[in-house]
Amino acid sequence: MSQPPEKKPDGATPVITSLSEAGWRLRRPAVILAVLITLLCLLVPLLLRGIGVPAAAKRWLPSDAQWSSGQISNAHVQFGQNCEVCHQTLLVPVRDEACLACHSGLAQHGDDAAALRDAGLDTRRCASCHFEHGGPHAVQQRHPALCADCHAAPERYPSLKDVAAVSDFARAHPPFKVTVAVAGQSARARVLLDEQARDVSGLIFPHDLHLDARGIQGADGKQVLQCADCHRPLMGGAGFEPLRYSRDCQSCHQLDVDLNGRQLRLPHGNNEAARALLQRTAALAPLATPPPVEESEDRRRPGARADRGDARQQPGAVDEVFERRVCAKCHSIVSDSDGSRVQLPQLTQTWMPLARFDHAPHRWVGCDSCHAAQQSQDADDLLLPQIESCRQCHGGINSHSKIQSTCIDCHRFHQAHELTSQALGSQALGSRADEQTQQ
Amino acid sequence: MSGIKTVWRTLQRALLGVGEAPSQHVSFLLYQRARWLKIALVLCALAALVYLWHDPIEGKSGSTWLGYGLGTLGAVLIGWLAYLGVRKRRFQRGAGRVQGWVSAHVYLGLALTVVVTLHTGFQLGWNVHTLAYGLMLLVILSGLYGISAYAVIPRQITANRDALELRAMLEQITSLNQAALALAERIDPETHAITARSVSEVRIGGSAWEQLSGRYRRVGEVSGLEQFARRKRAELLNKAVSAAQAPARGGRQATIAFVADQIFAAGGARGHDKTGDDKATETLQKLLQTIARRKNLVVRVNRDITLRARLNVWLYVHIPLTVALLAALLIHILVVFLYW
Repeated sequence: MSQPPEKKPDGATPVITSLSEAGWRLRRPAVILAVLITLLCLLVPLLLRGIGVPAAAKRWLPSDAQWSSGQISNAHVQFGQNCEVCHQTLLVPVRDEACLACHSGLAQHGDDAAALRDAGLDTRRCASCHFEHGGPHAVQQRHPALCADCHAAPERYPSLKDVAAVSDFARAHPPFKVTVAVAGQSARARVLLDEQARDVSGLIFPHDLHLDARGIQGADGKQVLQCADCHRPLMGGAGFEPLRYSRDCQSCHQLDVDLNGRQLRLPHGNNEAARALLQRTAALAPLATPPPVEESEDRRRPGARADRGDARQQPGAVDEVFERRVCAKCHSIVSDSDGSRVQLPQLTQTWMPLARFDHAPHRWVGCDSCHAAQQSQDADDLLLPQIESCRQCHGGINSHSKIQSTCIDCHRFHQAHELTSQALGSQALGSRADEQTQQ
Repeated sequence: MSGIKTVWRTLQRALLGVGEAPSQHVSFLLYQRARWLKIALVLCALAALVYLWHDPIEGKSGSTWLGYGLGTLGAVLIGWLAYLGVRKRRFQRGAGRVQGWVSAHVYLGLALTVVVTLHTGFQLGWNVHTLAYGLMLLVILSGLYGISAYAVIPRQITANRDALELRAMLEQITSLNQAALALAERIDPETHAITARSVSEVRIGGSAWEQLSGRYRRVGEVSGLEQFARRKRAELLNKAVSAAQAPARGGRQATIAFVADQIFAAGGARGHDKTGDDKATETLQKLLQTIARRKNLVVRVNRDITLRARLNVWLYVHIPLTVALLAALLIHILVVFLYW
């Protein structure tokens, strides 16, 4: 192809009969392109990385920004132009230390270091589960295999021997278990959430009475109560504020009692103070019952005008207030040699401490879609929905007819309370660390 | 099934060219009954199946185990494909036949589009990795042009040459030039001057763009020479006719003489009587014929040049970009491990 130009038959100017005779070359453009690419795509970026170039300049220079294999996730864009923040050493995979520089003291998956070692979780890198250069949210993947790699076959791990297999919310998720208060013991128990599950808080409270559609007698007249009148969402909307007598009950239920003809309003929440007040009053001489006001339209309390007798002669009068007249209406009472007192209610803030349920996205669903409070007569009823209720709307990660849901929508991986990344690292080092500190 | 067989046979016939007997020419596209086409198709199907089945946590990309596998396969293939440039120059030595290598080169090169695209996981962006991918696609695209050129153009070249080689055609043009000059010499100096100028200015071939487009600047002053030659002949004819129309002599004698003169002139115009002017006309006629033959040959030569230029133009893209691709590929692989 690269022949010399054909000599013209007459020996005059040569004729050009091919592209190579017209000056087109193969080798020179090839070399130029190869050298150009090597310069612009390898050598100059390496040089710029070596001398350190501000991120703003990187956009216009052939820098290592062109080595990026995909978009940096949203959370890391703030330093994402500086590749050396994570890629600290050439030819070395990104180390955990680079991540922990910001995410310091990250909680492990659990507090049992031995269990973590069994599962191999002590040697996994951050990059085993968190991937970068994959789009705005790549750093937190939603693939169920992240969890199902271990939890789909729990029989392989001794620490998971009591745990059911999980792989997909719609098809392979065990029924919910809840952590409830149990009568007679302070420690809570983890039980299956079914119709028999009870949460014995020590309160007596019929939801059906209070939520009666016909209304109840409130402080300012007839009132139809809604869930939100007592269950107030926390700021931020994730859960609810703890119930408080002063805010949620007192407006209708004052602790009024009369003893020895004297009207008392008992303090709430303090057994000793209430008992002291009652005993002081009981030791006084009884007052005569006041004469009735003829024109009054106040509802007459049954027994208001009965003769109570002299409390000084009735040794059980104070206890009677606790056990029958006032406190026992809403509380379970403990009676022992010291007398009766109100048992401190065990109110539960969350029945599923290993999960996160956020009420805020569910605000548009009526409370009674999931909580059967209208039919509940007893505060011991655990009004939580079972998994079938959730599955009405939530499906697996590949669902086409329901909300695509994955493990981390409700659960967390980094949920240990004590064990952090640094702690686990030092435990792994073990005696070597102790020796170093002693030196 | 029989429908597919019919289509296949029609395809074979089209690509095989004239005749169906296996001893005849077999296109490199159907080497060994299109063995490499089948291998490439199987490779693509396998890659696609594994890609569809694989469900990695981080999403499909070049950094999963499948991504690394397909990338390695792609890189090895690119290296082997580039090696054809070496193998074809050592025609006799080496494993297999060069025709087989070319067939494999084409089909495995086409399979690369599938294999490497799956390797990317369809994650593309403005970076050095997509640069390598883009260069590869350009190389393959130019190669596609090359395949179609090689399937269509050689037959056109053969038809155009009509059993004459380029060199032979050029030599014929040379001899025709000399014949034209010799003929023009015999007519008059003006004709000879113009013929000589035309001979020196005849254009065979041209710039690269002229070659590729097939549109060459006018073939010398041929048309000018033609016009001149025709004008010349007309002049000579008129001279002969007017010469035959001699000044009238008186009376019947003049008429007879006139008629005799007319017959004489007519016969002279037909070239029966070789006077100086009649010879010039005949020579002019021959000159015109020579010029026409030369023009025909020049057109054929230029068409040959155009066809061969179109046959080879893609190589000026294919080969430099392959070298650029090799550089970009090495950098792509190195960078993956630099920022592991």
